[in-house]
Amino acid sequence: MTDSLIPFSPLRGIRAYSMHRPLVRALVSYYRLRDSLDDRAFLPRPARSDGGALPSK
Amino acid sequence: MNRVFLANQDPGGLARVPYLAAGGVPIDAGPLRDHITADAVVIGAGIAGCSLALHAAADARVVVLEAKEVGWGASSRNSGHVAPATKLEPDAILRAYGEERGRQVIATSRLGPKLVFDLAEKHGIDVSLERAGILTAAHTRAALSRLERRVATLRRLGYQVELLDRAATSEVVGNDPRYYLGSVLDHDGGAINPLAYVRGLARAAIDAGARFHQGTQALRLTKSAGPAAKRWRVETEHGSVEADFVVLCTNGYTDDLWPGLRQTVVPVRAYQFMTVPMDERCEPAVLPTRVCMTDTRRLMSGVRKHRDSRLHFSGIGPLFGPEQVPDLGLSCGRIDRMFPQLKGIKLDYWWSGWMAMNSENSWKMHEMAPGALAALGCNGRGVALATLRNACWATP
Repeated sequence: MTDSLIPFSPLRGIRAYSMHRPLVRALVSYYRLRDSLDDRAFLPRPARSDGGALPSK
Repeated sequence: MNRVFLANQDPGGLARVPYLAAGGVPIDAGPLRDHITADAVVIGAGIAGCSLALHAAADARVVVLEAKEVGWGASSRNSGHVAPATKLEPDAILRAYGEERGRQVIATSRLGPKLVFDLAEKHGIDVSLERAGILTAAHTRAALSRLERRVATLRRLGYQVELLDRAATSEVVGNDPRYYLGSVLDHDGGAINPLAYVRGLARAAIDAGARFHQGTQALRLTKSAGPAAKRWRVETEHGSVEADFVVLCTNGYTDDLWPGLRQTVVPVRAYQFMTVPMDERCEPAVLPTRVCMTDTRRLMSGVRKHRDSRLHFSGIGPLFGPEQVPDLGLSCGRIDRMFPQLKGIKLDYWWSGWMAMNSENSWKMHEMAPGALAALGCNGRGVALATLRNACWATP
């Protein structure tokens, strides 16, 4: 029952566990910013007044 | 921290989870009120615990203790995607485990969906199965390059996955071809009703001889005293179980039953949303094959279409603490951009649950002491991998 393809890990807590909430919040804020920048760069933009949509890069 | 801190933050239970409608009949199993012995005691009746109980019950006396009810945690609150992969890219697995073992890890994880679908069929579990595959779409050129590397590695290892170009991706997703640069379609994946699935697993395990007790929180875990000193003793409010093995299957809902175990993962609150049924003029074009999909954006991006024409997607909200109203602007805004024809569509449901994350992006197995086991860290890949991992553990 104790055989495992993935080796057992020592029971070691996540470093700076007491800080995990601010760290994860910061990480998610960063992800949010990066997603937003990616979308700004790659997503189709709203149609221009001349009717043509700007090509996506 | 109070031991029941996490569990108490979801007081609404399953009441707001839309899977209930087709989620099957709840398990009828009351609290433990005896002092009993078994070969193995499983803590937590989610997918992991129920899979372990089902696969071990043929050869062992198994007791499952569940603080709330079967499937109460993340097992019934996830997106229902059944992925043939861990969160790690295949190349990362080969680097982490070496070529030989890495190949085995990839081969095993690819079997996950088949095991889930086969179990559902074998035990007659109506999981509202969708087998149109699972799509990962690229939102930038760099992300497309990563997907191309994924496909190349999987093909080198002998797996058939399809790399779709921009136009083909647009057809499968049903949106503007400029939205995604390409995608990977993995035909081995699919989607299910996870509540129906976990209840079905529990019922099959009970039929196979496992004993379930709901409303029974494991309060203390110690070594037995006296002649049975090698055994584990789990104490509950009104009873106890002594067993050779104890397996903690609590994942993102892990408390301090085993000191230090909770700190090996970071439980993050993951949010799901479901719209009202889509307008019949719009619906056929949106995910026409009902493939379930995600994309390469960093924040949660799962999307699927249910048989009743509702769109189901993952999103974001307050990451910690009690369940609160999610970030509807961000979560729904993405769907509005993805499917402009659905802009402003109303939501019928939103709900949340704890997902166990770690820095390795992978399950971690622990043998805390002889006979005391745990595996945590679903990292959003729980349905198939929890089934598979615990089936492996239970099978000599």
